[in-house]
Amino acid sequence: MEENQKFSTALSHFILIIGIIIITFPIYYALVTSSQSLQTVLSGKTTLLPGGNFLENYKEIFSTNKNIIQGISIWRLLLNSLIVTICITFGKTIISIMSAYAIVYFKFPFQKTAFALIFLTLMLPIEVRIVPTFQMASSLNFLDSYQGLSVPLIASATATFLFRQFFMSIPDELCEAARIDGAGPLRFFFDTILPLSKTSIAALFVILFIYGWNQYLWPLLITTKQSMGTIIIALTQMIANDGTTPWHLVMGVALIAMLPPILVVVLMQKWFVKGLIDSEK
Amino acid sequence: MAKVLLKNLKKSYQNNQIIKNINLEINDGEFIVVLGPSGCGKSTMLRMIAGLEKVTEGEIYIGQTNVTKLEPKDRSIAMVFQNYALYPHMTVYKNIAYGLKLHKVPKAEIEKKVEIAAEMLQLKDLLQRKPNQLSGGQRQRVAMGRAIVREPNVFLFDEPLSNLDAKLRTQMRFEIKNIHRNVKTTSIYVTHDQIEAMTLADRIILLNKGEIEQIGTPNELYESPASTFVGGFIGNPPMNFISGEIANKYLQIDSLNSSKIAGIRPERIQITDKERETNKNECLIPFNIKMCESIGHETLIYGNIENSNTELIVKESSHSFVKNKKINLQILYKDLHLFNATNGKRL
Repeated sequence: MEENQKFSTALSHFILIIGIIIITFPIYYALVTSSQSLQTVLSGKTTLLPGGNFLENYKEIFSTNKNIIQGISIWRLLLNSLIVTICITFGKTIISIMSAYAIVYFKFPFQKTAFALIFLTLMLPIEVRIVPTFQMASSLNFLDSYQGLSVPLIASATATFLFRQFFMSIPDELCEAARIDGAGPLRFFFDTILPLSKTSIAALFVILFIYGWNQYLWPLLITTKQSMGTIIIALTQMIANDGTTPWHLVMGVALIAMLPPILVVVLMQKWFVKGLIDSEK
Repeated sequence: MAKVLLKNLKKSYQNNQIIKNINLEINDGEFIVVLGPSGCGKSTMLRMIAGLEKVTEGEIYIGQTNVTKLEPKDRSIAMVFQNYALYPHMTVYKNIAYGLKLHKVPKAEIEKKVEIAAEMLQLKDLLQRKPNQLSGGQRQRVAMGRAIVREPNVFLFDEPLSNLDAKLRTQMRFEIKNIHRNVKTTSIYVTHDQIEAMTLADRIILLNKGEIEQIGTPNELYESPASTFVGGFIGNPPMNFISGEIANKYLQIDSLNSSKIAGIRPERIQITDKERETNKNECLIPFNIKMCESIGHETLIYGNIENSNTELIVKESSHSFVKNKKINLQILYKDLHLFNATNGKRL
């Protein structure tokens, strides 16, 4: 029995380690590449050991004079990404928590229809509705603006659905007790629903932050000015067709672009897990 | 402190009548228990008084005010829920104070009131705890504290003890009674537990299918049930019913025929072994024992009247009965209740 258990522990570790290698190897490779000089990278003699140009390369990337893409420094790109991501994350959370509140706690005509419509959009990925969305955004003069980058992505069926499920698990008596205590709908929302949703909001924050940060297709369409680009867009634009791609810097920027989502996950992990598994009732 | 008056109260969902024309006057300071099987509409009635359910027809008065169309918060009521409905993220103190805060009571006054309530309910050491750090009984006390500090005209209890274990239930029952004795607020208490009803109530309202079967003191309901339903609901085990035809064979009562039903409480039936002459106050019924259940201080005897399939339950304090034994049941005429066989009403 004991033998068997040892074997299964070993096996599961083995499988996990393989998984970790598969996932982290490209990241490690990017890290190695970003620490070498362009010549070494291009010579094709890259090793699996870090080179000596790490600090130099990153100094170059972070220097305010350095143009990551034409005329734009990495700071601007990071700032753009951050603003857009924050707008999307907060916008999505606010809109979805409010619409879920309306759907669960209020009776109004076509309530079911409203929910069905929201639910329906779950089935339509952004790629499907991208042309009409673009047309609308452009007629609203949203091209090359933060609004354009964030507003069309703010409505979220998934988040609405998640909050709806959570609200429905809150006992009705709580709402009734609040009514008897004299709390109106807004009061009840701010005094009870919002504090109770803390963990759900935190979990959602992590998911939405990553979603917003990693947006690619939509920013690519809606921006034409380099100054409005996000870091993800810039990353692809750094890769030139004529063989002059600064690969050591591309890898560095890629790693930097990965950092904020990682940071969010690491900092909020505790809340994230709590929000997914536990219902504090 | 106020009277509660229900006038022709009706409630229906679509075409389904839940409450059928209830008229009721509850006196100031009275403790009323609304009793009934599940689905009889007792919770709906309470929720209508609370303002959580819309009234289909009829009027509700609390004190002199017609509250039929008022919001719950404007009715001067406080409610205790079955699952406590405490705000999970607030401390005990905040839970109790919340209603006062919303009614814009000055902070110092809130503090004083919460302190008095906490004292009364032995919650003083728990004020900074969150509900999930409390036991069921403590949570129920917090829920009660929340109701008391509001100093409402009417307390509404919606099966407040059904989530507690048996021992705690007895204790809390006692505490509720005590609190009512202290604050003397008109209380309406919904339950399906007849022990709670019998022990707490000044008057019991027995509901069946949305209608009042009987209103009366616990003793009135027990001693003179208004219908077979009341007899079968109050008392544990419930009242035995013998159809008029069967009873006629053994009971020498004039005009006992198939249009009537005789009822007798299990605890009023005596068992005698011997065949003997009966006097004019009693009768003997031959009885086959099918099964005995001992519950410690007494034994429940199940069986049927000889040559019929009328099943009876007898409650006895002695244990010396053997299964399948034929015995005689002794019934005193004064313990018999007679009901109309068609509508079940008392004669």
